[in-house]
Amino acid sequence: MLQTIQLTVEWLSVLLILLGALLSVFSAFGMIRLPDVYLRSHAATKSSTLGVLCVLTGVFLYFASVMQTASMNILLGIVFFFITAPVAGHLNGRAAYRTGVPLWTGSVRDELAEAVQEAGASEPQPPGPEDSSMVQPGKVSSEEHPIQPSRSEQAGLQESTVEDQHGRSDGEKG
Amino acid sequence: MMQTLLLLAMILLALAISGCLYRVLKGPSIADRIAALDTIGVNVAAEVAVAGAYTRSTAYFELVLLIGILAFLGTVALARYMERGRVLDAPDDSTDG
Repeated sequence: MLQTIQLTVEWLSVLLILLGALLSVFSAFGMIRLPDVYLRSHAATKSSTLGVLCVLTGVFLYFASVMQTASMNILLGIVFFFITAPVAGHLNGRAAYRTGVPLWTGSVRDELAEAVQEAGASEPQPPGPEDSSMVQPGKVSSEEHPIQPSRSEQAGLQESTVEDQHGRSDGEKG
Repeated sequence: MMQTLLLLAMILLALAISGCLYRVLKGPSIADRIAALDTIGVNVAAEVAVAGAYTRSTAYFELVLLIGILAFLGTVALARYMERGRVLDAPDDSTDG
């Protein structure tokens, strides 16, 4: 009976580890394929965190069943990753927005720029880099023309959604 | 059988790390590279944990925590440096956070 339980927990832990590794692979796939810093940080933060949590839980269960040792280090690591990964993703996304990393041209809405405009000039905009090749995302959303595609590699991804973007943004403004 | 599956998981994690490495090398902006480096750190921690399970040794577990903390601190420091030009704030201008 005990043997059966132990074997079941062992298989469960190995399957959890495999699931976590697969999630990490999906996360890396998103890192490669998604067109934008903000979309990429979606892949990097969400699925990579879930993958690592699955892997660490599986390793914890594996050691609990195989070696009969409950490793407090792994528990601490689970809590630590659960707390810090979203924080790091948020900090990176905010830094990217404030330094003026352009949005993907298929983005239909920039709610942060609208909120900044509504707040008015009471809070001065943090100064971006004096680099004319980088477009401030906050300024772009109020203009008529979308950002020119800066990376030719994404031409295939962009063409499919540019018309869609025009239609939807007109609808939202009207 | 389980050792084989653990080995497969390690290979998958190595694939994920290679994918993020591509983004570190290619990424058009610095924020891309920072996000990819953070993901690499997290994945390396997971890889070390699976390596500990594969070799059935508990000696690797401190390393998991250590890599996690280093990856997080590195990401925070790089993001703050990119945003403000410095990592630590002087005590008099700590108004925005």
